[in-house]
Amino acid sequence: MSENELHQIQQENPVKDHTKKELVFALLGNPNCGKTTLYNSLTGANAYVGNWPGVTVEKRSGVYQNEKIGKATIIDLPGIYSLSPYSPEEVVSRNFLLQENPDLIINVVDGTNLERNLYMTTQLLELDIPMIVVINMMDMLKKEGKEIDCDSLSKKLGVPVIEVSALKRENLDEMMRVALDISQKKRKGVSVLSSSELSSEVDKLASCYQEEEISSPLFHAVKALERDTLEKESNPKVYQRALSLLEKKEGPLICDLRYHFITKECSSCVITEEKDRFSLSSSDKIDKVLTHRFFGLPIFLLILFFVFELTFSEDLFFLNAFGVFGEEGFNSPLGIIGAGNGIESPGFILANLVTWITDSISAFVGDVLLQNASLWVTSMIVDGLLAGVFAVIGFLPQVLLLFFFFSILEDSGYMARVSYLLDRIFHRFGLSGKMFLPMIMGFGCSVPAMMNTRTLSSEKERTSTIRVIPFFSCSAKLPIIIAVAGALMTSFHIPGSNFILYGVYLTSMIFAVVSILLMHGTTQREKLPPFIMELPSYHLPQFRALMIHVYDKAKHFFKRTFFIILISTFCVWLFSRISFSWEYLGREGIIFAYTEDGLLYASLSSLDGISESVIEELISLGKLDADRLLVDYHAAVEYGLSENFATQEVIPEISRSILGSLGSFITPLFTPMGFGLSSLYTPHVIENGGSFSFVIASLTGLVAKENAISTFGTLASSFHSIIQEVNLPEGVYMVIDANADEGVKAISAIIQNTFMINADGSLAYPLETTASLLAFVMFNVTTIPCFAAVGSSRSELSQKSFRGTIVFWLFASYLIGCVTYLVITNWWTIFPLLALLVLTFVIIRIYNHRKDQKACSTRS
Amino acid sequence: MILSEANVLTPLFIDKIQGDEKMIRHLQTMGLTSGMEIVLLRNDNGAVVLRVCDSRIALDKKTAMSIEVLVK
Repeated sequence: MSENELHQIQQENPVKDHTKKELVFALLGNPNCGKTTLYNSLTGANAYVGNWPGVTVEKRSGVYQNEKIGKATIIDLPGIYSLSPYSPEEVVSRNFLLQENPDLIINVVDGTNLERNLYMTTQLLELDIPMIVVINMMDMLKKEGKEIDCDSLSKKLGVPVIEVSALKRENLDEMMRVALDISQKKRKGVSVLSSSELSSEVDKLASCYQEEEISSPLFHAVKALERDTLEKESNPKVYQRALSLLEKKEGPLICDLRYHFITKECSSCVITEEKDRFSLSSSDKIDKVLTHRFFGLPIFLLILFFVFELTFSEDLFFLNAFGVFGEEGFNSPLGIIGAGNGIESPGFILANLVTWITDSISAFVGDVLLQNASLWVTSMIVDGLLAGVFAVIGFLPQVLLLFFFFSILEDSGYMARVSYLLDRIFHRFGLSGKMFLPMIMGFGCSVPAMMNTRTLSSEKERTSTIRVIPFFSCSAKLPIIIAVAGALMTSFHIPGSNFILYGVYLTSMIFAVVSILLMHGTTQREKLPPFIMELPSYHLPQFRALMIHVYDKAKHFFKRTFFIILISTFCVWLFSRISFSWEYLGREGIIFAYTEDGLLYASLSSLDGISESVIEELISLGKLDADRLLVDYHAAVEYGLSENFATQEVIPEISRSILGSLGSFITPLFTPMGFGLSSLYTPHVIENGGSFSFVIASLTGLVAKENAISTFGTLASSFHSIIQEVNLPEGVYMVIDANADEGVKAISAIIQNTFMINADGSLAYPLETTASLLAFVMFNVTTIPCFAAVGSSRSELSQKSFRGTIVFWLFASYLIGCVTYLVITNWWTIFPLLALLVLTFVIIRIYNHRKDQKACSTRS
Repeated sequence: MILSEANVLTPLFIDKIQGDEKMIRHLQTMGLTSGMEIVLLRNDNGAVVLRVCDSRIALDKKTAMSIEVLVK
C-alpha cells in the first residue's frame, strides 16, 4: 500500500482515543443554587426521575441534545454543601463520582453567595475528573450591582469558570460548548492544601494511594487526613497505612484551610459596591414581620387558610354560610362555579370541569356499550377501568393547585422561615419544626404530603411523620364525615353536624400529636437533630421556575397514584361482583333519586321517543319533573316509559361476593365499636347484613376514600325498606344515586337497616347509634389511607419501617374507633383513659431516663 | 460569650464550637467555623438567624448555645 493510500484511509477513519460512548455529566451544587432550574433548562421534558438504589434519595437523569453543540447525559445529583459522609445525599453523590466516573463535573455555584458555595468546589477539585464551574444567578448579580471576574477566578481554581442565568437561559449554549470541550481533556486533581502547612502530609498520603492505583488519589488522601469515616470504610488497608505515615496527631483543621484559601484568593474576584454589613437587608426586614414572636404564627395560619380555601372549599370564605346568597345558594350552569352552596373555590371549579368531562365520557361509553355488549363488559370497562383512571384525573386539578401554592411559598423562600418558626415552638416538645409542613399538606392530600417528608433529615423523623400524616384528614375523607353527619341530622334529627366535623378533625389531630410523642419516646427515639437551615433571600418566584416545580411534582404524583388506583379499582370491581363460584352478581338496576320533598323517583335517561301529550299529562299530574328527568316509577310503567329508565349496574346480593364474604367475616371484629355482632342496639346484623355495609365501605375506601360513599349507594339499594317504598316487582333492581345528596340518604338507609329503629322512624338508641357512627368515621379517617398513599409511604420508607407503619395504622385506628365508641356511650370513661395515657408517658420517661443513665455509666 | 447571648447587628467572630462531631462538621460546611466573621440578625430567645459570608442561616437554641463568639 502506498503512502498516499494509507494516508487516505486514515483520513476517512480517524482513530479516536476512546471508544464512542455516551458522555455523562454530573451536576453538583449547594441547595438553592438554581441547579434544578439549570437541569430543566438543559434536559427539557425528557428527564427521568427515580430513586438511587437502596435509598430514598432522588435520582434524576436526562439528555441534553443540541444539533450544533452536541449531546450528553446529565445526572442531577442532590443539592449538598459538601462531600462529607453524614447524609445519604452526600454519600450517594460521592459514590457516584468515585465509582461511576462521569466525564465531567458541572459545579453550579450561586453567584450571590460565592464564598460558601466554593467550599464544595475546593473538594471537587481534588478529584481526577474534568470540571467546569458555572456561576448561576447572573441576573441577580447584576441587580445587586455585583460583578465576578471569571477569568481571574478561573486562574485561581485551575478550571474554566462561566457565568450563566439558568432562569433567563442566558449563556447556556456557551456553557455547554465549553463543557463538551473540557470533557475530552483529562484532568488531575488539585487541592488547596498544597499551598498550605499540610502540603507535605497531603503529598505523602497521595503517593500512598497512588501506589495502590486508586484513581483520584489526592481526593482520598485529603479525606484520610480528615479522618473521614466513609474513606476508612471503603479503603481500610490503605487508610491505615496512610495514617501511619503521619507524624503529628493534630493539625490545623482542613475546613479552616479551605475557607482561608477562599477568602484570600477568591474574594478578590468579586467586585462589589461597599455595603454596610451591619444593617438589615430588605429580606431581613421582611423577616422581622414574618418570623415575629407573636405575629409570625398567626400570619402563617392565615396564609394556610387562604391556600386551603382556594383549593378545597365548596363555599368560598363561607359566604353562603353567612347567608349572602339567600335560600337558593349560588348557582351556575352545570354546577361548575356553584351548585346550591356557596361559590366553589378555583380548585373545585377546575375539578368540576374535569369531572364534567370525564362523567360525560363515561356516560357516553356506557350507553354505547350497553347497546352492543353484555352488562358485565360494560360494567367492567366503565366501573372497573374508566372509573379508576378518571378518579386519578378528577383529583389532579386540586392536587396541582395545592402544589402550585406550596411551590410559590417554597420558591419565594417563605417555607424556610416557617420551618424556623415552627421549630422554635416545637423544640421544647422534642419535635422538629420541619415535621409539620408535610402534616399540614396532609389536609389536602396524603400523597404529596408524604412526598414532602424528604426534607426531613433523619429517617426516624420521616417514619413518624409519615405514620401520622393520614390523621390529618385529607379532602377525600371529608365526604364520609359530611355524609354521616348529614344523615344523623336530617334523617334522625341529631343536631350539631358542624360540631361533628370540627370534632373529627380536632380529635384526629390530637391523636396525631399523641402518637408522635409516643413514638419519639419509644420506637423512634433519637436525639433531636440540630436545626440548621439556610434562609435564602426572598424573591418573587419566576413563573417558569414555578411551572417546572409543579410539573415535576405532578409527574411524581401521577407515577405514584396512577397504576395503584387503576389496579385496585379493578380488583374492587371484580371482587365485589364475583361470588366464590364464579357467578357474576351484577344486575341492571334503575337509577332512583330523592327529590327535595323526600319522594323517591326514577331517573329517565332522556325524553326522546315519548310523545308530547304523555309528557304534558305526567307533568300536570305532578308525576314528572322534566327539568331533572325524574318520574314516578309506577306512573312511568303505566304509561309505557320503562324503555327510558336510566340504568346502571347494581349488586343486590353483594353479601355473596368475595368482597362481601370478606366483609362479613371481618365484621365481628367491629363489635367494640358498636356495629359488629348482633346486639340490642344492632338487631339486624345477621338478617339484612346491615352492619357489614360499614365494613365493606371501609374496604372499598382503601382504594380511594370517596368510594366509601358510592359503596353506600350500592349497598343501600338492596335494602328491603327502600324497595318497599317503591314496590318494585321481582327481578327489577334499584340503584340509589348516592352522589346526588352527598350520600346522606344512602347512609340513612343503611343506618335504618343496621340499628334499632322506633316505629316512627327515629333512632331507638340515639346515643349508641351516634357513637357507632362516629366510631366508624374515626376508624376510617385514621386507618390505612388510600392505596395511592400506601404506595407513597412504601417508596419513602424502608421495608421494616413500612411493615411497622401498616401495623401502626391498623392498630391505632382500631384503638381510636373503640375508644370513641366507649367514651361517647359512657362519658365518664374519659377520665380513666386520660389517666392511663399520662401514666404511659410517665413510664416511658422513667424507662428512658434509666436507659440514658446506664448508657452514660457504661461510657464513662 | 455564647451566640445565644450576643446582640443583634454587632460584628462578631466565631471562637470555637462545642458539641458532637457531626454537628460541628455540618456547621463548617455552612461556613460556620473558627475565625469566621458573622453578624447576628435575629435573636429569638436563644434561637438565632445569622449572616455569614453572604448567606443567612437559622439555628435552634441548643445549636446556638454551643457556639462561642467574641466581639470584634
